[in-house]
Amino acid sequence: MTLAQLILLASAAADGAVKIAALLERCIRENRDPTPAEVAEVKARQASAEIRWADLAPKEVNP
Amino acid sequence: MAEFTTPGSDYVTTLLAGIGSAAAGLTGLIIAVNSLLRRVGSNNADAQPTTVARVPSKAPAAVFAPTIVALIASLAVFGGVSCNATPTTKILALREAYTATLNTAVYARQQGLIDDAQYHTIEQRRIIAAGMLDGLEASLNTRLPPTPGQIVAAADAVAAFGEAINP
Repeated sequence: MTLAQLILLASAAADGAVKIAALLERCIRENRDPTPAEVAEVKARQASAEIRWADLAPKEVNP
Repeated sequence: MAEFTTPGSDYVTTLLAGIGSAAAGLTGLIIAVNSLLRRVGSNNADAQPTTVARVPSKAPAAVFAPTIVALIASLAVFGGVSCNATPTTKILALREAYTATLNTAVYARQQGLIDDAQYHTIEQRRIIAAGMLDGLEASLNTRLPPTPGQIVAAADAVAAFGEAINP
């Protein structure tokens, strides 16, 4: 793994953490539930990650 | 930017959220450092005293990925469950944690850090966590909304999912 890859991974992780913190902070400050758009955005990212994870499933080998 | 004309509940809520975020960051940092030290310690234990210590090519990622998982999971789970948020917000925060953990698993798998056996273990934990999150969300609009205990149980499932990436 190169230094650039490490930086990319750290950047992605930090981006995720910031988004979580921002989402929570906003909802708490405004004392409201997440909007449908926010929920949809989170679910879209989840679906995308699940598709990529499924694509990496081990290949079944038939003897 | 919000204005706090009176030191009422808004101020207290925001203050608590700030403290929670700081504590979550500190908790994640402690977990990350512990994870790092544990890995470094195990590497040192394997080293032969008569040979020059060499770092395997996969070592940085093997140390780094679980550290990131611990950081993200602890931050999101702590922030999502402990702060004064609505159940919908807590569940969405847990879903973010789940997605962040899954993205890390994808990255680790692409880097060859997760073999087939571990993939199946992670997949089992992922299915449990995803199922609990979906169950919580489905119960939001029913006459029996999710209890705090059920939300904590889902947070535990998400944390267990993250831990599966760090065998």
